Amino acid sequence: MIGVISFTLIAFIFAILIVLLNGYLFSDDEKLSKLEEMLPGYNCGSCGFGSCKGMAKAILKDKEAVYKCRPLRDKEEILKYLGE
Amino acid sequence: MNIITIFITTLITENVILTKFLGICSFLGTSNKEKNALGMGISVTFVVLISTILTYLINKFILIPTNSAYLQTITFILVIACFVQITELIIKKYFKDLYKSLGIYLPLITTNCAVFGIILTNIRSNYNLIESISNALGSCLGFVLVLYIFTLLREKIENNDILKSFKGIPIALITAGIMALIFGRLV
Repeated sequence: MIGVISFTLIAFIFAILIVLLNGYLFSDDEKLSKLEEMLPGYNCGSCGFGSCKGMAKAILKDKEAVYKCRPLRDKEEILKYLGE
Repeated sequence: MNIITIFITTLITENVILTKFLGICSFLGTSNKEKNALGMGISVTFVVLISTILTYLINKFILIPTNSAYLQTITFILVIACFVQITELIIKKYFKDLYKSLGIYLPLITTNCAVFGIILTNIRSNYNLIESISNALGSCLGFVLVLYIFTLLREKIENNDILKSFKGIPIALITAGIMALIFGRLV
């Protein structure tokens, strides 16, 4: 009986470990794709980062970079999303 | 048995693939490209090494004191599956090309009998921790070595004129058989 309980406990610990690792490794990727969706998607390059993908990466590093995007009207939306 | 003896025996004369015939699925599946073979070998080595240490500790400090050695198989499979998942996550994040080219064979390390075979051998032969690690390391390096040689041979063979009925897997199996003959005699 103790063996079965300890087995369940081990399984539980591993499950938590994998979930935490998954969140740690891929949280940035999720944010990046969300940010890319919010950006206009013209890939105009007027921000200086080449494309909207580069812009999304720059925003993740520094919030203020969002003001360099000229076509984007609703800048508050992105700032709000990052603030959460 | 001495640590070095275990290492060399499992590396060459008792090779996992060629004399114990474990892990044939990934042996044939990932030996099409040099890069795939090395990626597979390194992932298997990582999984086996960490699971060897963990299963040894779990077996000694949890399963045997609580008189529940009947749970060995399922616990070991759990540990292996967990570390395969972790390896998969790491490869998916940092080596995207390798992740794409390994495809289904990466999650299939879970059911790679070589991994489970090595861990079960450790427990059944009553190895201590250092002997277990040397057994795991020797077996895994043997796996990588044979996989790598086999990949190079396959790449060479595929560029030659072969009978139509022997193309692909049949000639690969014959090559593997000849390699097994050679490795069995390397004493």
